[in-house]
Amino acid sequence: MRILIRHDAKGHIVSALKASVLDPGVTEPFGPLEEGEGFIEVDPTPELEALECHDFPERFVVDPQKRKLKAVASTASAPKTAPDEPADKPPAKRPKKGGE
Amino acid sequence: MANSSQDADVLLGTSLDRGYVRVRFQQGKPVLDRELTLAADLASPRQIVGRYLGNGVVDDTGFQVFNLDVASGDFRIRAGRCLVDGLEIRLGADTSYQTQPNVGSIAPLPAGASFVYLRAFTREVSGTDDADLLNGSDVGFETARRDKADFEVVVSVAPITASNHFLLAEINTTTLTVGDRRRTGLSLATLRDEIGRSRGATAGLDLRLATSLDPTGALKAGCVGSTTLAASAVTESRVAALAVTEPKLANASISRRTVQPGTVTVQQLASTLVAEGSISVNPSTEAVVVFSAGATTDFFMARVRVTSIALIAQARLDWSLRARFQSTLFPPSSSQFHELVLKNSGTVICSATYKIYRILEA
Repeated sequence: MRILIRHDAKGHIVSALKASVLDPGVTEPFGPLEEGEGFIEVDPTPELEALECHDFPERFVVDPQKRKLKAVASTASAPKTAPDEPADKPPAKRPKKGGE
Repeated sequence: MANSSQDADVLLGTSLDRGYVRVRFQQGKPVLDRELTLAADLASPRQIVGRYLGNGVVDDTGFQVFNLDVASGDFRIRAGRCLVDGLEIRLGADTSYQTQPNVGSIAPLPAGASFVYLRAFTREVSGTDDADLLNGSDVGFETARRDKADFEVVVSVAPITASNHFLLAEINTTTLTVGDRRRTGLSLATLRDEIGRSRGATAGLDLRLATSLDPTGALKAGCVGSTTLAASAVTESRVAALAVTEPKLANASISRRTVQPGTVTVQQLASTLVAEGSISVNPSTEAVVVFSAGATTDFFMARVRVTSIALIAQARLDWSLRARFQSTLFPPSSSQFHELVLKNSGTVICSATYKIYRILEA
């Protein structure tokens, strides 16, 4: 499995992608990115593989310089949903599973 | 009963058991009535005919049972000749079960299925029955009696195997059917003709049979060809399960008409799984998964399944497949991408799994 994280200029996660099958010829898996955006690929550790994709924006931000994931402190406010939300906005409720 | 010094049937049986085949009279010795009777009985063909020819009718109509009438408990019997137990039985005109010459054994027809037999026997005839036996033109009294071949038609629910019973028919008073069970064509000439027809152009019947059958009666290998099978002779029920494998199927033999609805799944298509995974889509954003880079004429088929969404929130996720072509002048290049686009118009983040197949056009 490959885990790819798309982030904005501030390191907020725009989209998390867990791919079990991905064409090796695809070098830009998220397609054209917005100004300031980028993406990183992280090692698929068992802990990360166990997460749902929507868990990543809740739990992590990206350090754009080091190109690594950084955990969000549980007490600190952190980007949760929309990439353009202010960082001090209260976290959004965690979505429930289910639905099609 | 004839006035004989010994029962003729008993004497014949004893003589045959001892292997006697002929009576030799001697000069100067008296001639006994039992010896004359035995001489005639030994010369009679009845024993040989009964034992080696069997029972049957020569033609196709003799003693045929027809016109079953359940209401009157009767059926008709056609005139003819029949050989039973070495005796030739003669019926001069059509008769019926109820009105046959000997009615001592007739009974109501059994319900359902039963067998109809012709029982043959001999009956002694005296001068009382036949005045000619009284020798009125010379000695004026009866000298010798005669045995006459006689018969009766009997009906039995149980089968009878005695040699003096010849099976004529099976009748059924419930289904009102008559099944002819007579052995017909009981003559060497008929048999010879049938064999002659059966052997066809070969020298013997055995040679004709040997062209297709082995000594055990099984079909020889390779004797049934495509021209031997009648059109439409082989139906689905005659073909064993899994007997027809791919090399036996002709090209283009399977059409849309012969494919059952619902039988073609993704696994039957010439398809390749090119992308599989899951992705998060933030609210009011669009997420893209590029699953193919480079020019292609292939088709793609995708499935997207939302796996996470807040039930309390207003949610909407649209997805589509998109092809994107882009080129640059400096440096000169062009490329083509195929993408899965997921657009979250709701107010909460959601995740979706996706699976995309590449399908070959030809």
